Amino acid sequence: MQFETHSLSPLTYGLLIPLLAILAVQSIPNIYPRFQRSIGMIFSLLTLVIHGTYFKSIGLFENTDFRFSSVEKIDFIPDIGFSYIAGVDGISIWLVLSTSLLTFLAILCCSSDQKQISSYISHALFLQFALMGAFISLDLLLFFTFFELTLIPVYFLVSQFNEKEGKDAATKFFIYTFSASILMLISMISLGFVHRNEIGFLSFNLLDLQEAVAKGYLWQSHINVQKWIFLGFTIPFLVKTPMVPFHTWITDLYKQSPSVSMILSAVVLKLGSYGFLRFCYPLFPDIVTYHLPWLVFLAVLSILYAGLLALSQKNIMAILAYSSVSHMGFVMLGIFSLSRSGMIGGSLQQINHIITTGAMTMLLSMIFIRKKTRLIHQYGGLKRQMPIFAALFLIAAMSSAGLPGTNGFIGEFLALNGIFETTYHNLYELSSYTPYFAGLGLILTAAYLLRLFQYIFYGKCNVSKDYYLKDILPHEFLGVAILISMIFTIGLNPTLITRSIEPPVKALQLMIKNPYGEKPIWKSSPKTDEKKCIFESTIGEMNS
Amino acid sequence: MDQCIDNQHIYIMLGLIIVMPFLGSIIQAFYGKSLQVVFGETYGRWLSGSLAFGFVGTSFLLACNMFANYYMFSKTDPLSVRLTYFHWINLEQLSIPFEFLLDPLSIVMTLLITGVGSFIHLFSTGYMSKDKDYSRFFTYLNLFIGFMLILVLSNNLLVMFVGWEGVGLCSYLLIGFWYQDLNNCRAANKAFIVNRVGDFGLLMGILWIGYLLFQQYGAKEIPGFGLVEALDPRWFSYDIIFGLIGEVVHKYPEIITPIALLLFIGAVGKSAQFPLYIWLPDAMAGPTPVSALIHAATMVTAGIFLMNRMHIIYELSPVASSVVALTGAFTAIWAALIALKQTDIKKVLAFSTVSQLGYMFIACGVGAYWVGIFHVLTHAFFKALLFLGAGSVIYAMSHEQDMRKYGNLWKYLPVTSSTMIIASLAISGFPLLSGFWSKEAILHSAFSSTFPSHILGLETSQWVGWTGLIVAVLTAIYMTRMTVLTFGIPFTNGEERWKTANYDSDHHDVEPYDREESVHISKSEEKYYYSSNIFSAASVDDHQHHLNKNHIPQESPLSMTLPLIVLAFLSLFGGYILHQNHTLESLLSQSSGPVYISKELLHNHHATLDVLLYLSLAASFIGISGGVYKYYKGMPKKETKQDHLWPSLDLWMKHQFYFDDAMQTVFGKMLSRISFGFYKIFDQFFINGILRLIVSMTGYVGDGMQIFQNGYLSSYIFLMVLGFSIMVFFMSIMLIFGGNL
Repeated sequence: MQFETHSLSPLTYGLLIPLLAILAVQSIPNIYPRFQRSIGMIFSLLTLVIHGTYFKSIGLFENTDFRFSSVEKIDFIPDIGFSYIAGVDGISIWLVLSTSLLTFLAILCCSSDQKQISSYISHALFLQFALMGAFISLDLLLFFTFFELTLIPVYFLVSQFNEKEGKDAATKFFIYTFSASILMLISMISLGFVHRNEIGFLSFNLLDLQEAVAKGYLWQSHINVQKWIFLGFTIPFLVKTPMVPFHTWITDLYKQSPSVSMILSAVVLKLGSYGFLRFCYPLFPDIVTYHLPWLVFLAVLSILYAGLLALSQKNIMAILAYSSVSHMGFVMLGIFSLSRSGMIGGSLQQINHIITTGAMTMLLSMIFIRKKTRLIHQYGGLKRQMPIFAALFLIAAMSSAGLPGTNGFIGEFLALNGIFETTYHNLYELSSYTPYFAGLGLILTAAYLLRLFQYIFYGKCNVSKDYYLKDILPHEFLGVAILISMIFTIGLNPTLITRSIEPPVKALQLMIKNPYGEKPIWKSSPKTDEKKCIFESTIGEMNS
Repeated sequence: MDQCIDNQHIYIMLGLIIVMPFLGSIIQAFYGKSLQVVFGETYGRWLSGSLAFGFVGTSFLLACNMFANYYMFSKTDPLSVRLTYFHWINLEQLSIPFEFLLDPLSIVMTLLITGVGSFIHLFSTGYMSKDKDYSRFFTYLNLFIGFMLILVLSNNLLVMFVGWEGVGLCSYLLIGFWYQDLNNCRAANKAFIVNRVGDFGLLMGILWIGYLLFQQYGAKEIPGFGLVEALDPRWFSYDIIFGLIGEVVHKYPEIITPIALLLFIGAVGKSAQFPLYIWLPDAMAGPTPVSALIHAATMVTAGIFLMNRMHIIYELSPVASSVVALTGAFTAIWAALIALKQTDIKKVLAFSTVSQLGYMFIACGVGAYWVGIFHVLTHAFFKALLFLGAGSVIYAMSHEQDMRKYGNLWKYLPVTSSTMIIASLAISGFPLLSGFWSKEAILHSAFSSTFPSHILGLETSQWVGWTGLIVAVLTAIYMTRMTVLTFGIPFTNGEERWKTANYDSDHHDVEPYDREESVHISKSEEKYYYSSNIFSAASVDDHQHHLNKNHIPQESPLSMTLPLIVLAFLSLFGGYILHQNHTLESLLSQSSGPVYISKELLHNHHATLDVLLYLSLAASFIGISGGVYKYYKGMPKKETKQDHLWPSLDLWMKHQFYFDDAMQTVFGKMLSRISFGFYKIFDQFFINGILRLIVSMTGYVGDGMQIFQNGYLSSYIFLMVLGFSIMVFFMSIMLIFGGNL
């Protein structure tokens, strides 16, 4: 229990800043929309800076430890084991940071003459709060709370934008993901009770649970229950990710949502993949491998099916929605591959997808503000008026298509490499054709992205007033340039991110592969000097 | 890897060679337009063009310097040095550094790329001088050179893949350079997507190789020993692969053929072999210097380069080698037949390129890998010259590409026509010109090799050798046809053909890719889409001029003719220089020489070889004289009217045996339809239908439950009694069975 301190770290302060920002934005009269926007921007950037410097100061970017850093605990309702437990590791820091970054960009790029801008900014900030909370929480109920809290801002953002269809899409999104989440809540509660039966006290603390699992206590007499609890966790995550066939909410949502909030939707999807990585692997080591064949099948199906469907969509946002499903297929494929490089690739691809889709949605939202339509054939020939814009969009599209040198390639390559290793080792009864089918996704991705690019930018202007469209504005350029530079930074130096991702992923892999009693334990000794030695010796033991 | 020579020097030099074009590209992208604003249009363009040329030229000079220092005058064995610049992917069990390999093969390719590249840059400064997007063109062109250098210089399959896809991107951008015409864009899309099919195979092959080595030599636990440390985990680096693959194949002999075939899919895509060649003819939509540089001289030879680089894998797999040789031979004859009936001058050259690439694959397939590179070099000389010459002709003829409207250009374009005639003689295998030497070397190696396998009782190498000989005749015919029609005598009445041509007829053979793209446009929008809007005059590119009757062709400026002359010189003597004293063979023997196949397999039938020389000479002369005889009066009328002997075959050849159409129908149209169908049936009907069913069921259940909430006391009492009795029933059962249910 040495982890648990009662003094709050900057991690929690950073989490609370968006709430403060909402108060600040709401307290400014609506007649100063630009001021409201700048306040929102400053606060979201402040979160980024606080978290960034804090992670840097405790050396998380070069961490070789797989355990959570800066774990802190505040008991809310001790009787039922509900408490605030937060902590980060090499995987979640990037998600936390990119959430803040994208919130900043989403507020930067909204046009200040939009109605109800304060409500828009507040919802964006609240979404930031909920997402960050979900990414740092180490308590099941806390995670669930934040997981569900994300629904509220998304619901309002979408339903406010568009009267009729927007409400429908938002309701569908809400009910769909909410009803799936109920399964997760039930599973979480039963997990807590299983813990009470085996260990003696009710706990929703992920660290407690993982320790009990790793030592082999938790599931010793509950193997049958494990399966159902696992499914209760997995299905909500698959819905959130989303995997085919649970993906239909995302097309409706993307089609109807206000363009700028789309930027954040890229992060919302990561709750699924992150959740799977964070909860399903450590907690259900026996049953995960048994279920991998159909999970991998779903991932490959998502890649191909969504890629295929993106080819004939008429709504630009629908193309992007299917593209997201297809790319999340690669993320999940990497995570499901259960090999080192694959899981690193999957975790990296989550961040890549945030960056790339963020850039693409940002650019598209700029066009929507200019052209006010989302139907693909009403576009054409914009390259002449907007050459810089076209160049930036092409870079983002190429990153999405996984062109080497951009970040997308690294993630997809590592994911494919991972699935190659797994299938050719004949592990988990996966078909050895899996990587080939997944690889076909690369062709489809190129096809639909080029089609999109051609329709928007190539050819002649077919609407006369398009001739006066403005190229990208300086503040818009600033926003996109940040993401574009990240595309190349990660593309050329992925070690920047993989370095911190590798230790926790390695531990996750060992949590699955090693027999009970030899699994790495998150809660093991925190002594800084011995960290490394212990970890090394753990590996040694496991391998001998 | 001997690293005795001062590495620091090479390190910086090689870095500069690669960085230069990228630097040029960045400067063009950011400052190209501003140069034209600051210095005025003429000087700005001149400056921007010379910068672009300058960066590639510097690369070329540096490469020449390096070649001279370490290869040409080096007394020791040719240098082969590995240079690591920075870490790219760096995991515990997988390390992929950005590393380059300087060896004879890569330096020869570097010289070719930067050399031919800089001349084509020079040519482009003239050719593109009137284009609006002058600096954009050079941005892409410089970028292409950079990626191509990465491709050939890398010491790592993944870094090579960076270049491989990078050149594909540049090719896409340059084919669609005149983006206002949607046909160009479709051709660009087609090129990228078809290339992606090849890249898919290549990536899978790469992954497989990496996985094999990782599995065999990666860190793993051995019972009783504990964890065994891995070798250097650079599983994708050439030195590691070549050092270890033989051992792995010894253990698992069946695994090498699929790997080799997967890599070959990549080569087929990039080097436009059957069935993935379909993108190359359409790629002629790009500006002509692009066709010369990318789609004839450099990028399309990446497949041959890959064969050379990975030749150890192909040596270990005779089956894959036969597939390579047969694909090459089939493509060679297929494309040569199509080239016979094309009327667009660039299409003739495009199919000729496909056919010549087939030749190169024949060489690689029969185990004479260095011969493939030999033909890459000579082909680069004369095909680049042919394309640039064609560009010069097209420039002089106001962007008309139909050969039926040319004729008598000899009178107007002396430099262009004389250099082009040299090139077409060279490609036809005219004695002592460069094409003669390399083609002879290919046929020689095919006939003398017994390497791959047997088909129908005859060795594969014999099959492909005879096919090569037939293709030599066809090559000579279609090249002569092109030359005679373009530069030869006009119609008998003395008028030039463009003055008498019928301008009403629609002569554009270019098939628009995926014509169904516009199917979803509604009628009213369609009208808008196709009608010329008020801005059409302002937004149409300048290159779309049309020939009129009073046109007088003029010779191109010096910036365009100088490259022609240099390339003509190379076409004349390049082959001889490289062939003499086995210069190229001995140079490349280190990197492309056979490792696993024995010399006996490669040099077997000595008896036939003298005959072969006469046969190939005869092929060349038969072809040239046949072409002259048939076409010296201009295009035979029946060929245009299609009431020819074997009319159907004629038509089939003209339309590429309808293969392209079929592929477009299947993959362009059908895929779009399937996609739409899936969307409607599965997404909209099936999945959403089930969801809607569930949602409405909750509604029905709610409605159904309403009858109980009717407000009558009697019904409430009835329900209460009912519930109570059910409870009693179950409790009594539980009592009876003692809770053992």
